[in-house]
Amino acid sequence: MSLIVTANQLTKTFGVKKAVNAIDLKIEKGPPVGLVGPNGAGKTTLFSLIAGFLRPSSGSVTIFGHSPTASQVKGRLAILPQDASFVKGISIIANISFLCKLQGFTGKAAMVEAERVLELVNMSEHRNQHVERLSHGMYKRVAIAQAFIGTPELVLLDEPTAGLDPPSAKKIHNLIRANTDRTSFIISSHNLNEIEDICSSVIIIKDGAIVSHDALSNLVSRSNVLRLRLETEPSETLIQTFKQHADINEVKNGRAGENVLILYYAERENLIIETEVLQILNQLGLSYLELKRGEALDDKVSDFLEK
Amino acid sequence: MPENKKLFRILLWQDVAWSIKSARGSLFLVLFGIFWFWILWKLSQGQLQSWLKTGDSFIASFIWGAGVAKDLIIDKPTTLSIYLIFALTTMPFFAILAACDQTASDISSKYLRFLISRCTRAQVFLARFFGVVILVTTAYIAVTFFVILISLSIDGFSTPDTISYGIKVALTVAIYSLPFIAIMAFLSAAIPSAALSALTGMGSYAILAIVISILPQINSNFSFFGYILPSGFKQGLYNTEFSTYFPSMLAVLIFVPLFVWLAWLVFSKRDI
Repeated sequence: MSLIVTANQLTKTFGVKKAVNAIDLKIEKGPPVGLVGPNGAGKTTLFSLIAGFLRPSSGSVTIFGHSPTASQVKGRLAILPQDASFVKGISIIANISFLCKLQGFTGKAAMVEAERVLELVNMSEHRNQHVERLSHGMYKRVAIAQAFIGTPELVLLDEPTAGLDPPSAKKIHNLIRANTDRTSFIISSHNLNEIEDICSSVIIIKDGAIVSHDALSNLVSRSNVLRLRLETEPSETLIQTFKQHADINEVKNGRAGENVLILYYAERENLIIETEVLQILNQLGLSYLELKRGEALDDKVSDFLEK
Repeated sequence: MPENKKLFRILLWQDVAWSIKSARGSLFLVLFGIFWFWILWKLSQGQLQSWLKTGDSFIASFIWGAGVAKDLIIDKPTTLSIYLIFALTTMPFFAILAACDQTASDISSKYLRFLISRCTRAQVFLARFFGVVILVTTAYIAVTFFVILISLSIDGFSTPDTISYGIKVALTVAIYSLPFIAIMAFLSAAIPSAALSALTGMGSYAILAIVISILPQINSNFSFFGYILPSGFKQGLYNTEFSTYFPSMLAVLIFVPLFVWLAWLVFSKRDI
């Protein structure tokens, strides 16, 4: 595996605030990596440092072994910046085909490539509209389209589906999945279901520092765990009943207000734990909303962030 | 990926094409067009020429010196001389207007973020600088062409003399625009707002010009302060003597690498 991003003691300060604080990071070429953390944690700043938009206050960052500003990196990296604007007064197709030209497509090929990437995000029928007339969601889709021009080796997507309707978000998820064999993705998102669905490793960032960088399989257990969501807050009786069950080792409460219990159990032959749990609920006259195998990334991230 | 030179060419010509459609490009072209249409109209009527040739030739001698005034008014096509005077005098305004948004708006809108993953900062910076140079130079060459036509019809000089002087005037005007474009490269990299960088450029230039004109009256030893601005060398650019004209031209050009270097220092290190 080859390293695509390396950061050493990477720090960025804005005034007295350390937006990114002495981050050491190594990301290898491979399946999508998620970048999660609360607002103001430093996710966008980290992306901007990797892409060369911001200069580090101290430390260093390299992409493919080069500085982000080096010409060797250009065209190999694509990014969906969170709040960048296209040129106003110019059509979508003119904006995108210009970026295609910068990426090595000449003349008609630039137009064909622009049409292709706009089609990927269902925006080709709006190709002649000026960018300032687009809705937020349409604008976002055009911005995503430009990140898929050519065959970039690394794509940084900052909140790719924020503000998109569910069908569009699903389309973007499929687009990412369809390109993971040739492109490495780093995806920043507050939508942890999205991260869990697409990414195979997750970086959790808090107050400008990385608090966890691990494979999703190490972070959230898929076996020997049940996640139970109830209609009401779990009563002490219910918790004690589960704790006294011979096969249940540990019972954890989910986040406040979520009405979630996480049940850790021991695997044994012929045990269908779901049946056991449902019987207990039935005995206590309780109903549930959801019963899922495995931990949720959401709970794990919360654990890290609340530490 | 395209080679570096090709990337630069793509950026350059796209900038020229889009600058005409942009707010700053349109504003420059409209004001420039109105102003020069009015001046060309007056020149074609011979009204401005008569002003310089008759009643106020004493003022011309006082401003430029008797020798230069004679050269401009009598020995050279007067229409072109008048154009040269107006072009150099109004250059700070028009060049600053045309060059105020080399990178400013794209820094504030973060458009550069779409470019920087595909090309280097140096390519963007140089393409924007030379894009404005092409826009301004083309605009002045177009005006000079019409002035030459007017001069040929009313000044009475031979066609070769008029055209050769016209080329020299066009070259002088084009070179005199460069330091102002370079100064604005610096300001538009430092100030992420086109309007604010234009106001800062025009405001600081006007204040400096006033201070420089007052200082020698307070103490004659301060007269060298005039040379901290390109306009300090304007007198030499009117001069038809090569020994005066050429050093003045070189002096004006010295401002260009100085301010381009300062602009690059700011642009290469700033967050975009």
